[in-house]
Amino acid sequence: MTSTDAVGGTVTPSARHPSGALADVLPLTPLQEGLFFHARFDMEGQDVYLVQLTLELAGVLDPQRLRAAGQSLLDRHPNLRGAFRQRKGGRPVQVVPHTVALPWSETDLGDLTEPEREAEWHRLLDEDRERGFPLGTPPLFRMWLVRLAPDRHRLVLTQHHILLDGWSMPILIDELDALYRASGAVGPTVVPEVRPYRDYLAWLDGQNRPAARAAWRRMLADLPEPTRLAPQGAGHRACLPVQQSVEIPEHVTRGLRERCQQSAVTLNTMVQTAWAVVLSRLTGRGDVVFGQTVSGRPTDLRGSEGIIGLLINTVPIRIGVRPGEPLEQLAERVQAEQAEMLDHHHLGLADIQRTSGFHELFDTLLIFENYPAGAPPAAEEADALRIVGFGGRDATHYPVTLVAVPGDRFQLRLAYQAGLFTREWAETTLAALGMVLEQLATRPDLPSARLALPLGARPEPASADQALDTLVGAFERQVGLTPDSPAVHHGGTTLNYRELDAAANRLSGLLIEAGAVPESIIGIALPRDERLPVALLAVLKAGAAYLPLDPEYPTRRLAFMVEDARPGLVLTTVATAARLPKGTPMLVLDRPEVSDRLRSACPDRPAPTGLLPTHPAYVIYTSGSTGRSKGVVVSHGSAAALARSAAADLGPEALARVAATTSLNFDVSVFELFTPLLCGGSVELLRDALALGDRKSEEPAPSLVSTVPSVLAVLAAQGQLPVGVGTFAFCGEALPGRLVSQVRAAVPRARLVNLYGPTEATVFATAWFSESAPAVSKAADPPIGRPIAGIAVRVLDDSLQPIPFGTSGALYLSGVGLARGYLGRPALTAERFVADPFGPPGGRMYRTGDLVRQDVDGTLHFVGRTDEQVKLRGFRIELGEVEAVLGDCEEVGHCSVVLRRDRPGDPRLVAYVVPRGGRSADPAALTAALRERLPAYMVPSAFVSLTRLPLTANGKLDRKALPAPVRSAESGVGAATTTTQEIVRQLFAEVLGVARVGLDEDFFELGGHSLLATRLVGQIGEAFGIQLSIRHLFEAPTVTRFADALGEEAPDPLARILPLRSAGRSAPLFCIHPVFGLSWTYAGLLRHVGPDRPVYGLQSPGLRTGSGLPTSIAEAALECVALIRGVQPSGPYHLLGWSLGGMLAHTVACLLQRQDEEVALLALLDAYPSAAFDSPVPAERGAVFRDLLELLGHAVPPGAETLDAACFLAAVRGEGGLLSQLDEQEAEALRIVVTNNRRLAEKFSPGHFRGDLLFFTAVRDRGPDWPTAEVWRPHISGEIENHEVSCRHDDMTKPQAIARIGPVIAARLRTRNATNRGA
Amino acid sequence: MTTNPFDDDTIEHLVVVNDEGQHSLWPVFAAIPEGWTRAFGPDARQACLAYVEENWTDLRPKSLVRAMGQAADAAGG
Repeated sequence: MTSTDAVGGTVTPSARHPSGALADVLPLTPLQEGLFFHARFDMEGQDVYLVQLTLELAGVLDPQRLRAAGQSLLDRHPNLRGAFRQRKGGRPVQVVPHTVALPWSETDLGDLTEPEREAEWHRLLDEDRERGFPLGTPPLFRMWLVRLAPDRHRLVLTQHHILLDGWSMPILIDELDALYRASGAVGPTVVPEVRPYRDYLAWLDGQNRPAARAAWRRMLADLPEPTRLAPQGAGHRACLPVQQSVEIPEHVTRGLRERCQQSAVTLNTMVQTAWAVVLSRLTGRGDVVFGQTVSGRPTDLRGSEGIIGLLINTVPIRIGVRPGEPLEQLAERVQAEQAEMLDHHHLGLADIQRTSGFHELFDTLLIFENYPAGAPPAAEEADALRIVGFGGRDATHYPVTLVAVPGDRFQLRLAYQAGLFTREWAETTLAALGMVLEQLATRPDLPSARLALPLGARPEPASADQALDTLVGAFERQVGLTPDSPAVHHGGTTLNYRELDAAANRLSGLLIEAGAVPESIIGIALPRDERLPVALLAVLKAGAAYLPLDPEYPTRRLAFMVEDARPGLVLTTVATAARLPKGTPMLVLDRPEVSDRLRSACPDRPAPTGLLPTHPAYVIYTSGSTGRSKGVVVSHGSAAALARSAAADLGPEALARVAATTSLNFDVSVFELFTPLLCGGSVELLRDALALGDRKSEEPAPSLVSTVPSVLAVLAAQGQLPVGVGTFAFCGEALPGRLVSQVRAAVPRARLVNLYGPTEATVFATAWFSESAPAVSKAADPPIGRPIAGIAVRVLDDSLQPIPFGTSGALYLSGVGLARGYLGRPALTAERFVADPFGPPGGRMYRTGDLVRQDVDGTLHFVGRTDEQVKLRGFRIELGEVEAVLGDCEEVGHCSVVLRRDRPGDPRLVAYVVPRGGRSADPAALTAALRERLPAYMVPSAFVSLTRLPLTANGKLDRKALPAPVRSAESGVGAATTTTQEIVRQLFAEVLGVARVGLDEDFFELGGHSLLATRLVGQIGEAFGIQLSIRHLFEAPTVTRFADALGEEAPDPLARILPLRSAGRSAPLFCIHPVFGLSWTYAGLLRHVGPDRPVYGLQSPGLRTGSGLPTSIAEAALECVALIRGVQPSGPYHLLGWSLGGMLAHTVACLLQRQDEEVALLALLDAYPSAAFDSPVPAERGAVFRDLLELLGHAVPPGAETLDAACFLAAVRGEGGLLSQLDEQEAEALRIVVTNNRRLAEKFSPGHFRGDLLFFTAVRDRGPDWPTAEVWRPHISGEIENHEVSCRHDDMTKPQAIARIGPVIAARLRTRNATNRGA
Repeated sequence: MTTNPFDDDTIEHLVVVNDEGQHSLWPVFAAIPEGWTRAFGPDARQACLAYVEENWTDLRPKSLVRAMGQAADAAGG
């Protein structure tokens, strides 16, 4: 084997021409720019756009003539000599040297054996590819001749795709052949002149790009999302794809061509249509986009079809697949829609994507290889190249590329990134594609939805087993098994099974006498005590279904349910009876005559009532989209099956003592009560889940607690997670991974269960158990698990076809848990409980409206809601229902209600209202009106008035354009007059997630609900170091009243030393003022450092007078030391300072050490021993006021470069706050203090502190030369512990920053205590 | 996401019924599942729902109605 590299392969243009001898500098086409970008973007990955074309040549060959022909190609086509360079600061260009020598090499493999030869060939081919092309060095084209035998050669044309497209290839080869035949002699007689590439570039430049942009914008309008097959974030590391191919049988290909003729569509359209259908199935989306390579040969540029170069372009094809549309009709529509875009194919993809608003529209590319046919083989001409075969390697960077090659047997190649897809996936996808094409040919009238494609996992039929038990039968069997075991605990009372059974029997006798029979309904409006389970069982034993009427619900809501369900009787007490509408037939259990009757009633079981498993056990109302909520009728069989399967999954230990905390109106109560009572366990009735936090430690811990995650999150945040609980069952809303980690950390041995399911499928349909995933990552929310026994799931797309694993689709449930339907609502039942195509025959499935994704092992992940029903703190809310009620208000014209998540962990309902002509919408009035008709959780917490609702181009509400609610300045009017008020006000605002709260605004009017109330009361309690209950907030729901009720002594807000909290036994934390002299900004630390630790703020002197100001940091620090020792005579001391306060704190620490005192903590918040990064001291007084407003987070009046004291006060008064009680003289004093403080900072020279430094760096918006914590190194002897806080320097004491800083400080204070105690 | 077919007012629907007398809305583009027969349609979604509202007056499964009838007969006889 020999190999020769002739004429130095890569002759640079400068070797033949003087430097700069360029023939031309040309712009790039959009696609060239894209390829240029890709080559630079991924310098280390393989260059997928290097193309190798191999020609198999038969017969005798003259290498020299072939090489000369190749050189002629370069000479004739300037663009083949091009190289690509980035202009400094500009767009890339292609530079074309006058002449370039063709890199040519020859290899002789003739003396190798056949297998050796093939191996060597492939090795060399890879080597050639590895060599690549640096885009800046011409030419990006080379030829390599391999001799296999005297009469067998392979010619490899290696080029970069940026020069040439596939369309040019046959033309190029024809020309090569012609040039070869003419022995390299160039002349018009031999080879026809072709249109130069330049002409195309000129044509391109003359196109109407604005018109094209407008056309693409129209075509992509309202696209809901990009179409991606590769998992998000998988990255596009360029590597050579692998490919699978399939041939469409000849008769199908023929049929397809005939169909094309009949419906006047092209074969390309057929492939587009088929690919759209497959993509739609793969992604579960009805509106799909993919890329297609278009030829780019403009019809209005004569001879463009003969141009050699890169003219192709990639454009998006968007196709809406309507499930009911017949295939042929779909293809015709695609053809018509695409024809409109033909004139706009020249626009670059980046440009097109910009018009769509999406960064990336698709990740799949379709290439339809309709290249022009080359000249017929010139076998008879002895002198010609005898090309007997082609081979080639080319690729794209897209994760999936579909190449369609027409022919007698249509060929489909699917190239895919092996890291992202499997071979099986590719085979199935190709098979599906082939099936769609076949149906297009043979069943043009078939609706696309009826195409059965092998893409999703076919769902299992639901079990045909009938639910055969009743709750009554199961309970009574259990009474026989464990008559003396405890069944119900409440307060100090415990009932065993026999007692519970007897009490229920007595009451059931009364109910039967009153007319209870199967299919009748009896309401239950009772307080949460042991009478509740007795009443439930009594109703069931009497054969009736119970209707929960939680007395805590709004009376209007209760009235609606009573009116809708028309219970024959409602069980209630004297205390709760008043909640029910007038005229309700009632049995008041604690009336003497009823108690007497009960006492004398027979404790034995009543005579058989004819109760069957398909009779209803209860009717529970859930939110409805039509403005009416609806009663879900659940049978005994379904409820008993749920209890049975839950007991099997959880085990007797978990059910030994279940905490029943859930309202009877929420069907989780069915699980909490009946699961233990049907298997020998017991139930402890509690007020609600928050009551778990109040339990005394000597009470036995519940074996199982079930709650909505947000309630447990409150307990976790307060450190009140009940330890000793064996199982936590979460239900009602998405379970955040963060909470799972928190609970695991606090109660490591507990089993966690995530339950999912609608009331319509009986409490829960799927379950996830923590032991199935020992290490759930904090970031990932746990899945909702797998279906429980008796339930089958279907994950379907909008054509009711199964969705592939890993793709989100609508969840449908079927099986034993399905409710009978909605009470008295046949139509609603018929549209939600629908025929199940996956069996058993005649079965129904419930469409949940939830979006889920299913793993290959069957595990389901909750993704979101398909409609507008949302879940808020465990409550299902149909936004439409809230809108319906809101729309009924007189002053409301249009409205929309959305669930916003502007604050993490605190979703809330926000109403957008367009007032009816001329009227205004008063939030307080609307709140009051809604509260009369809706339960509290359905009342929006903010109302935003708009002049119109923002709409998308096709008239739908544009949710993304709805503004986040802002608290208006007016509602914040009112100045806090005491520090207590200010602290309370800050905490109100923080908990409510608003910027400011008015002093007299009602917490509950502002959207506070019981969970937030718990959080607020906890935080205020911690801040002031006292015990508070929610009752305090109910009694005093405004800032003023709550602060008054606290009765704290009101300290002077401008005092030198400000007791933020004076109570507590631990050593105080002293916080030293920043440059603006005030230190109540540190109040946020209160709730972090623990209630037992006093916190004092040190403020600048002269805040009232502007006189007596220190002249140096040292002087100011000395004064601080005196004040500190006045509070705490001896160490250890804890010091903290922000900005200037940090310099002071460091100096104070040095001074205290010099006085032989221990300094246990020195914490600096973004403070540095230089004022270098601070703005210079402003000469203008007005500028100081403006800076102050900014620093304090007030709005700066627009256009105000400078402000006087009056304007400053007007601004701070507008928003309330402590400062607003200053008078002008005091404001002026404040300005003087701030100016002085800035001067102090300029002259600071730090001492030396013996100890460690706890440092917090504000990392946002840092100047390039800002110092780091390290600049303190010379001024301390110990370690620097630095924490980065994602905020600006000025925001270091804002709630978000304090939330990060507070816990670190608190932890340090705690360890200090521990070591001190140990010492 | 396009519209769920059961909520889609722009396509035609059927009403299908099973042996238990339970009614279901059904989009006309999809094949009728086994065990169900067409009772009404194709027609507009609202017309189908109106048909259900009028004709499905007893939501009890037919097997339960039969069982209750037998029980009543037994009690009466």
